[in-house]
This record gives sequence, C-alpha cells and structure tokens, in this order.
Amino acid sequence: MKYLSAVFLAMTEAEQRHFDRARDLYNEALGLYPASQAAAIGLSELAYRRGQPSEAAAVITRLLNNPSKEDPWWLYLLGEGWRFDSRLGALRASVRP
Amino acid sequence: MKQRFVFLTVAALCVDAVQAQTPPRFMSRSELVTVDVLVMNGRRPVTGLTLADFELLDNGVPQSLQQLYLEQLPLNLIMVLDVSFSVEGERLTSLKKGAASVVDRLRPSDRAAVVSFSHRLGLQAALTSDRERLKTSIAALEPSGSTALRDAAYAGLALRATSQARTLLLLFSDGVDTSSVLEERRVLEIARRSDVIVYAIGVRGWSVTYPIGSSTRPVRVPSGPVTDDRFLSGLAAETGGRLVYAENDRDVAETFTRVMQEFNSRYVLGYAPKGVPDSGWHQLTVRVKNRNATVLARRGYSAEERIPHP
Repeated sequence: MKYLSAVFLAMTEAEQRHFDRARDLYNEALGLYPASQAAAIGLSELAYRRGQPSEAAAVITRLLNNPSKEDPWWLYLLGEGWRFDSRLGALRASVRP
Repeated sequence: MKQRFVFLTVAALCVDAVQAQTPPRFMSRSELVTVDVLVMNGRRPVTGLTLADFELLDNGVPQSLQQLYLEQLPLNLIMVLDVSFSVEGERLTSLKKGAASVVDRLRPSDRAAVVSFSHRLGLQAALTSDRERLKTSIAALEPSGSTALRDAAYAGLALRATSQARTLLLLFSDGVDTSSVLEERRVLEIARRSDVIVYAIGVRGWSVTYPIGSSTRPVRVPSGPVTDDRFLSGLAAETGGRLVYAENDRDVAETFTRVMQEFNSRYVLGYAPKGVPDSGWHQLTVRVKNRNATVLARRGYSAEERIPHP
C-alpha cells in the first residue's frame, strides 16, 4: 500500500508539474521495492519531461538489465485497477453538485 | 567543411514557459537538422528522388536543403517485441523468423537491440552489431504474462537518448495494453518530440461466423485489428513511421521484411535552419514538388533538444 500510494502521489504531483516532489515520491517507492518496474518507468518518464533524456535512458537501461520480479503495481492491476475509470467517475459524480 | 549533423530528441515540457519570456534568437549556425522522410504513391514507396524534388518548411519558412542521405547513415534498430501469453505457436515462430530476418538485413555499421515485453520489460540484447548475439536472444523469446504496450514503447524511445545515430523503433504487438503505468498521451508526447522513426507491426484478428444457409460450416472472417490501433497508429504518425498489419500469424515474418524494405526506401533530408527562432517548437512541412504523393515525416522538433554530432 505504501508503494502504491507513493506511485499514485508521484503521478499526481507530476501532473501538477511539482517535479521535485514527484521524483522524491518515485524514489520513495523504489526504496520500498528497489527493482519495481512501475516506479522506475515513472521516474524515467519524469526525467524525460524535465529535459533529461540521458538520465531517463539510464533509469530505463538499469531496469531493462535487471527486469523486475516483484512489483505491487501488477497486483493492483489484478485487483481493482481495471475498475479505475468507473470508480473514479463514480467518485467524481458523488462530490459534484 | 566539417559536416555536422543535428539529431533531435525529446524536449522538456517545462522549458516552454521559460522560453515564452525570452526574446527569440534566430538560427544562423551551420548545424544541420535532419528529417527522415517516406514518400508514398498509393501504397508504394517512391524512390529515386533528388534534393530538387523536395520542399521543406520550418515553421512555415522555406528552407534550403543541403544534403540528401540515402544509405550512408548508420542505423540503430531497437526491436521492442510483445511476448505476452497470446504470442504463442505459429505467431511466436513467425515473430522470431521475422525479427531474425531483420538482423540479417543489417549493414556492418548498423546496430540493433532486442527488448521484450509482457507485463514485464526486459533487455534481451543491448545495442550491438553482433548478429549471432541478436539471433540467439530472439530465439530464446518465450511468451508469458499480460501486456505493458505503452511502457514498452516508452522504453524503446527512452533508449534512443543513449545514441546519436539514426534510430528505427520496430514495435510488434498483438494485443491491447493491460498493465502499463504510463498514459497514452504521455508516450505520444515523447514520441512527438523524438527523432526516432516508429514502425509498428500489429496482427489482424479473425472471428468465426456461420453464414446464413450454411449453419454447419463455420467461416473465418477478418474482425479487424486486435492490437491497440489508436495508440500504435498515433505513435507511428507522430514520428513519420507507419502502422503495418500482418494479415495472419504466418504473415508476421513477411511483414517484418516488408517494413525493412520500406524503411530502406526513405530519404533523410538535411538543412541548416534559416529565418526561424533558435528555440521552441518547430513545425515541419515536407512536400514533393510536381507530384501527387503522400509524404510521411515527423511533425516537428524542439530546438532545445538538438544534439550536435561531430
């Protein structure tokens, strides 16, 4: 749960262009699961967006050379992840007047 | 004169705001921008064109083309191959055959890498000109798991940054995304700002139907693409590449061959930008004069991300 919350918060922060905060959160997720794929890809894509393609490539190369064996993201997708859009829609509808 | 190539890679979105506050600086350097172009007449590539046949506009400003490269530039080929559970049997055999045939077509100066993906991404072979190493890695591919198509496409694009050579990303997939962390728009944005050429290879689906009056004999009919058509076609369009479909499993190998033949029919145009700002997004328009032809090329480049080559 801590890993997933860090990844989702990182996505949210990145969307708001709070790139330093997003990077810290991805690194926090990687601290919990050092070989996780989702956090590494998120971190790499964030570096790309920040104009650091070499750093983005370095993160991806590390990941590809050591493929992830365990990533809570995959379990999340097996659970409620596929309902994400409908659940989010319902949540939004519930808070809108 | 010492020739300089300028290759264009991904730009930071965050620089736009900064650039908007600074006065434009106009390009006057001798750095060349290169644009990879495919000219099609119907479904067939047009070959034999010369510099005089092309017209190129950078942000609407006509540019003087200086170079036309056909076979001279070394190629980095990044093969990103879907090996999720559905890629099995004849489809897998054909995929391996097609990927291996691409390796056979590499020139001595070319290099290739093999990235496999299901829900998990892996580097089967790093960029190398060692054909046996590449073929061994292709032969060892085994299907398993679900499909992280967008993440895999992103990984291929990201690997581009480690090299300055002309880069072709060959992306094979037979399914829709089921496990990526990246959103489609994020990957397409990176593709748009990259100078990688993406050729996507999909597989058409088939369904079984029972025609009226023949209820005992099922008939296989095309049911359209089973791949993520929107994403793959978007990826190809952003980079000036193409989405090409194998008609069936057996056709996968031949489709790889057709793609490489088409890729070798492309032109690489070079020009030193004149009369345009040395910053921001540059919209590119490429036309062929006096000819009714379709031109495929990337839609633009970001000046901030140019990488001068010696």
